[in-house]
Amino acid sequence: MIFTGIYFDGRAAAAHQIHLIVKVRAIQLLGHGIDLLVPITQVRFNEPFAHAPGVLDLGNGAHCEFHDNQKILQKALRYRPTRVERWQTRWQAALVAILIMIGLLFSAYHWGIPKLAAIAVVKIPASTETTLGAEMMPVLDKSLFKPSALPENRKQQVREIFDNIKPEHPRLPMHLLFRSSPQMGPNAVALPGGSIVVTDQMVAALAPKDGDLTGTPALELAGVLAHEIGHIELRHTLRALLANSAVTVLTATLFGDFSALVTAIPVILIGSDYSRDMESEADAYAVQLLEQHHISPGYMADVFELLHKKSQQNPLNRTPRWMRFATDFTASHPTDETRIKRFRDAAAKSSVPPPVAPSAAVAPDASTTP
Amino acid sequence: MPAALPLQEPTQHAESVSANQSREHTQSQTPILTFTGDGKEYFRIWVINLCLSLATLGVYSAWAKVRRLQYFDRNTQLNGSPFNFHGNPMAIFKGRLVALVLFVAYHYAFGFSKAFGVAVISVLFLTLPWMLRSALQFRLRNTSYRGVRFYFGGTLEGAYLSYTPLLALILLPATTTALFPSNTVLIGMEFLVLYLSWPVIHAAMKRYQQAHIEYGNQSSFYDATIFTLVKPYLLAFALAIGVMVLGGIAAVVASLLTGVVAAAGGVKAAGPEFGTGFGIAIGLFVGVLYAYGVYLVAGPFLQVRIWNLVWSNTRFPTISIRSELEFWPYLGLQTKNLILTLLTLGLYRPFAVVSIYRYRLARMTLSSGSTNPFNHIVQSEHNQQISATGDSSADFFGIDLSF
Repeated sequence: MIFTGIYFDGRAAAAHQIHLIVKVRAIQLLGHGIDLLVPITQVRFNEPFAHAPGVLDLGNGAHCEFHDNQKILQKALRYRPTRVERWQTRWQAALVAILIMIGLLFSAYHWGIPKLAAIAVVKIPASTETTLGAEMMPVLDKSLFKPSALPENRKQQVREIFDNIKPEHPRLPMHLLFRSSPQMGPNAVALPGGSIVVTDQMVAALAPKDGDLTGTPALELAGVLAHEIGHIELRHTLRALLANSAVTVLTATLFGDFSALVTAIPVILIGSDYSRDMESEADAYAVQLLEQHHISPGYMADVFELLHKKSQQNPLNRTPRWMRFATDFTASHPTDETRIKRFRDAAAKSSVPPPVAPSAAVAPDASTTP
Repeated sequence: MPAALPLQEPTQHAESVSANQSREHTQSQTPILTFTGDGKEYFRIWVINLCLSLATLGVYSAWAKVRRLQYFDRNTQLNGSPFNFHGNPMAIFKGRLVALVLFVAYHYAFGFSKAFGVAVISVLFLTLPWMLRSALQFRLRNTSYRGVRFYFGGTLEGAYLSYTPLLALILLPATTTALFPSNTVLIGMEFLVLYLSWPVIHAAMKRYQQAHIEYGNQSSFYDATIFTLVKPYLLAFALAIGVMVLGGIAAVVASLLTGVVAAAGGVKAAGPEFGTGFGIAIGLFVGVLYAYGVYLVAGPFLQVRIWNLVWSNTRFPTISIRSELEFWPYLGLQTKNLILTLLTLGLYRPFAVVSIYRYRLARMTLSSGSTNPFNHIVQSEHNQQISATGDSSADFFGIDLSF
């Protein structure tokens, strides 16, 4: 069989019409002033595409191009497609690739990234974490926080509650900070490096009229602090940081050349999903810590009921139900309802008696528990 | 596709050698660019590339890139001859590792200490212009047409002159914010100066890239100045303002309507808070929508104008180039691509890429005064070695900053 093609010598762009003849161990090129014999081991047929001209590399930078009879030429030259080429020639195989990808992405999101973040976070030295926290505090002081207006004796009470609830051998020294934050309202924040910030608004929300933090309010505040201690002990800030950078890198590689918005959506959705998981983890940690101190998880449920009622007084938070579904996906915390139910369930299972009625509980002491 | 392109139809090529020869002689006045790839074929290459890249945690992406470039280059024909890409995937992989190290260092630059941050930024300023030039060299040196390689002949000084302003634009605002967080005046001024000069910075980069493309022993000329892009940017800005005004009117109308609706029926059912919440939601929705509208309209407008300007001002000694992308068809194509890509969760992406590439090529015409503009072109000396051995020591790592 004789094939018609165009020969380029690799030194000049001039085209030469040639006939190609496939012999036993070589190919022969014949044209105007051209008579070349090239060993078959030296030639390489480029990956064939449906409508592109066939390209046959001859070595030494020379090549031939063929518009016709490509399939026959491939056969004559005993062209062997690579595994990837064979894979992509079939539609079903391409669809399998989609399924594999979905599987890979789902496992990365569900197991891979959280697991890797949890492994990697242990390698980060405590000093790095402390520096990070120390750098965050001035920023927060500027934007969200104001100096605390709590009287010293109240602060002392909170410190005592904190010292009682904090674990005997913490991962790193923890310290308590007081700030006022009308913007955040009743809240507590755990920073990398072991700092826990309690807002004046939180203390005010839990304390009775006279402001004295004993009895039920003390137990409730212990619950709040236990949750934040959980964040620190479980290295949540750094884990979130690592997991979110991994998700950002992944989505940027997948959709990065397309649109910043399309890239941002999965990062926000997955980021808030991880955040909700960590909140639940910290809640679970708090339940354990409270039970060690013979405090019922029910107090945490009371706290959330109280805070939920408070937030409902703000008209902006009373979102219609149909919109809540959309916001739940982007929320950094599980819904109050979910958390209240979870603490109530934990309280029911717990051996520690639950609070009798909100704001009428007695402080449990060693004698009340078996 | 224009009707005057029977060349690429396989059936038309079942001709004798003499017929092919006559084609060589008659067609040379207007070298014709065609694209023979199609979305369905590229989809399968794309999906397998993506799957293997994910499965190998990105390692395969270097091989994927070579396969993608080969698909597009080999399906791009000029006068019936395809382009080809010869890049070594291993070189690209090494280049990506280097780029990854730099990216990670930059990402965490100020996370450790200010001194480390400043060191990283300085290293980036010193190395990136060189790397960007190497990337252009790699891409062009490994692209061939008719067995003759392209080359990028831009000087290193040129690279530092053209890319340092770009790096300043990307790196300086963040650096200043990290070093002097309280000095908002300085940061603001920096943003203002750098962003206002972006059209000139962009044009200088384009000039550097387009003026030093070599094909064999021929070197390109670029006739535009660094102020060429100011006009399209000003027009795009005016267009963006126009779209925003329209969006603003839409937002006012929407909130008025919401108010009416809330007053009519919503108040009793859900209370005034419902109206407020609803109004805010509508406001946000409209806001996002028109921000995206600006992006969707002004973006393609700029792409069309810049692409046309850049390519129409690029020429080779024997060939001149003209690009005539049109705004409305291009906008229509991009909008369709965006909608279908979103609806298919990204699976339409390869079809979109092919359709845009095809449109760009279809609107590009080449012309030449010579009857056969390629016949006198020979391989340049620095490419002789590369072409013959298929590789070169310069390709030890193929810098690739595309991601």
